[in-house]
Amino acid sequence: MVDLTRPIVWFYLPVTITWICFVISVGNPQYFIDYNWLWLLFRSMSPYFWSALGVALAVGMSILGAAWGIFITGSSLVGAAIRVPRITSKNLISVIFCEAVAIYGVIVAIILQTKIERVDPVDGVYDKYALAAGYSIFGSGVTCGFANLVCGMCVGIVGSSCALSDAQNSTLFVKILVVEIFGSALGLFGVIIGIIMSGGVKWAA
Amino acid sequence: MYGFEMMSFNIKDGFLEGVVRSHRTGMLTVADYNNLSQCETLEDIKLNLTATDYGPYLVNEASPIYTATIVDRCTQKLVNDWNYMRTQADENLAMFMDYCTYGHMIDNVVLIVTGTLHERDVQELLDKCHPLGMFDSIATLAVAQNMRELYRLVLVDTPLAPYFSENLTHEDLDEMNIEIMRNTLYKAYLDDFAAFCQKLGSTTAEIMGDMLAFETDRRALNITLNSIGTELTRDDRKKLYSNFGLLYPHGHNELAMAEDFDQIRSAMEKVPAYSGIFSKLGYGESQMLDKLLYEEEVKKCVDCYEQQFHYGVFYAYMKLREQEIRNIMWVSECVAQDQKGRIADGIVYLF
Amino acid sequence: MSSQNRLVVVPTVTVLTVMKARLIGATKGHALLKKKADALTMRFRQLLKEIIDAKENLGSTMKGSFFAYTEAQYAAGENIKHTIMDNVDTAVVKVRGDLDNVAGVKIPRFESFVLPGETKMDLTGLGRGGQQLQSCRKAYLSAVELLVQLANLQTAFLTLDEALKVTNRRVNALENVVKPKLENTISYIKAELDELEREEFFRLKKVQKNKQKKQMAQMAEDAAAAAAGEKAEAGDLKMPPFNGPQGQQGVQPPTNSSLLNYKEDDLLF
Repeated sequence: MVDLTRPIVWFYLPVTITWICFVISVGNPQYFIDYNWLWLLFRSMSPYFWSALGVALAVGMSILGAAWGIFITGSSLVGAAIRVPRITSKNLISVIFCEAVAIYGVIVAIILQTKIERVDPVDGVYDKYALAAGYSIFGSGVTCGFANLVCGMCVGIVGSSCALSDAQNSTLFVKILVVEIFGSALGLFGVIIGIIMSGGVKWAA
Repeated sequence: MYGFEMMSFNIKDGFLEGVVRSHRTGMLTVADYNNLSQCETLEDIKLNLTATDYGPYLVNEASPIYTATIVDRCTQKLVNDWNYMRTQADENLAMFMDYCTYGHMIDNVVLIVTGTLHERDVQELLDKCHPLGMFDSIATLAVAQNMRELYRLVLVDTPLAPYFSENLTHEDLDEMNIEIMRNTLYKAYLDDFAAFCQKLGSTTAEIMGDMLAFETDRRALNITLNSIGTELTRDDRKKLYSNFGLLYPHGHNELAMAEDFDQIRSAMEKVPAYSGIFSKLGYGESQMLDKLLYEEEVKKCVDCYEQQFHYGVFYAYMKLREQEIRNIMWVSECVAQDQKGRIADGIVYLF
Repeated sequence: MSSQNRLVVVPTVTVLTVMKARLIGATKGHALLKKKADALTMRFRQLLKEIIDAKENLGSTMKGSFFAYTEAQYAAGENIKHTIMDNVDTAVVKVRGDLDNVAGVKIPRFESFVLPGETKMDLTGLGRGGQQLQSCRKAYLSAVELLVQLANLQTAFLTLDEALKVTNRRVNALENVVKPKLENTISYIKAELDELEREEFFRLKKVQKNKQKKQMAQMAEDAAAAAAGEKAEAGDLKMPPFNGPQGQQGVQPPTNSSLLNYKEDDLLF
């Protein structure tokens, strides 16, 4: 597999993707990108695909971030708690913060999926409103999902440090907790934007 | 690319990092050392130490207690902790922890080699080995009857095999001065360790690069200092310096040429990191140097704890514990020999 | 009392001269031994002083060297002792034995010396703590030197002590036993000889008196015989018994010696 921790990968990855695009050449081989053909492609895609993908990303990414955060915090917490058991109950807060991120994802996913309405395509083509609705649900799902993913990791890492430093010096706990609260607020931004984005969704005129 | 180990480090090593960091709380503080310094007898020291992490190891010791016993029990504590973590570690961390102990392993192998040369008893030799440097096949080392056989067994059975095969021939085992052999192996080991840490990358590479550079520079300095006035030639001396560190390569050239302490000093002072140490020394005195270097090492080890998600803490933990044991030994000896005035000369406060 | 404190000898003039010679010998010997004892005592005192000095010195030196070892351990690590012990082939410091003569007493003397030539210990602790090891080595070398010196002094002390005791015993024996005994013997012999002389004198006087008595009696008898005339021949027959005792006068010493013998028996029991 591609090792994402190696810096060289982050240089080659975009280069490779561009190169693949170049070789395959979307649509007409005479142009680099054939916009007419692309328009046809996107117009023909079902908005339900986008909206379902948005919902899935919202919940999936959030939970991925939350889980990731929990194991980063959890493993450090367990290790440090062997010698200093007093930190366990206090540092459950870090785990709970991570858990909250998953809950944001679930909430946004539920909100998004309630926005989905039934519209029928005319001559095999969906209405522009329906297309826009699909894209905005997808967008809000992605926004919320990725925001929560990094938020979860952020809270996890800070939580891990919190557990380790609490084990050394219990006065540090509250200070790091403040940092952690700000970290966990990051996810909320994604949630807010996601909700706003999906607020104006109209499937039909 | 820094930052990514934050996400991936804990997958395998988060637990152990928590363990090793929490061991830091068990280390003796300035207050503990002050209490120890007030002791009148070794019994008092034992009593004071029972209140610390070393308690379970010392509490059952019979009453006429000696410094050697205290040091032995404290070392046992380090070994037990280390082995506990070593058994939990996987992949890279396990490898890293093994690397940390190779230094002791070299000492043990050299000890057995000399012991075999002088036809000592195997069991007796094994008892003298440092417990951190033990490996499964160490007992078979002593089975060898002659040097050739020993060389083959060392090559096959130990993790040190590459160091032997690349740097020594079996004639060397017979003829080479044992100290030169030890330092040749140590040089190979440090080079290898540094390369391994660079391969690990990210924070570990950064931190360990710093620590190992200090370690190797200190060795170079010590080798130079201790070989002045001996039959060791300049070229031989230079061969014992590692191929990295802040002194490499210009500082090494100067050190190889140095004939007295002031020349060493001028070579070392060209490196900003070490000029601070030497400015604390008066001209011409080298006695306090050891303590200053220990202090610098401790400082680096403590700095190690400032960063998270790297393997340096394991190395730092070992070094700090060893320094702590040295401190305890020093205090106990001072108390036992009624030299309490000298206590402050040897203690390096950890935190 | 005199019977306990003198030699059992025959009190004769010969023995007396022998005893006198012995007394002179004893006095001379006593003087010589006294001188020897004095010399030994002087040396003994001196040794004692040196031992005290050395011991005090050793105390601080040993303290210093032990601490140097601690320093070496601190710098070079706990296991350095095994490395060093395994690298030792031959002793560097050796001890030579010798004999010293003090007033005729042979005292063993030890001398330590360092074998010349480089040792392979020079490079020990090359990586770390080499300097401390070298200073530790120096400290212990001086400690060993002191130890040997102390051993030397102690052995000399013990030997001298023994010799001094023997000499003093001899001096005291000569002074308090032999000499008084000889003196007593001499005075005893002198006394005895005087006694004998007096006895002899007395006996001679007695004999003389007897002789005179007899003479007087004879003269009276002769006068009576002359007066009696014819009856004198029968009285002459009685003369031989009188001659006997007269003859015995020449053999008086045996009688004397038997008397002496008798006395000596008395002395013995």
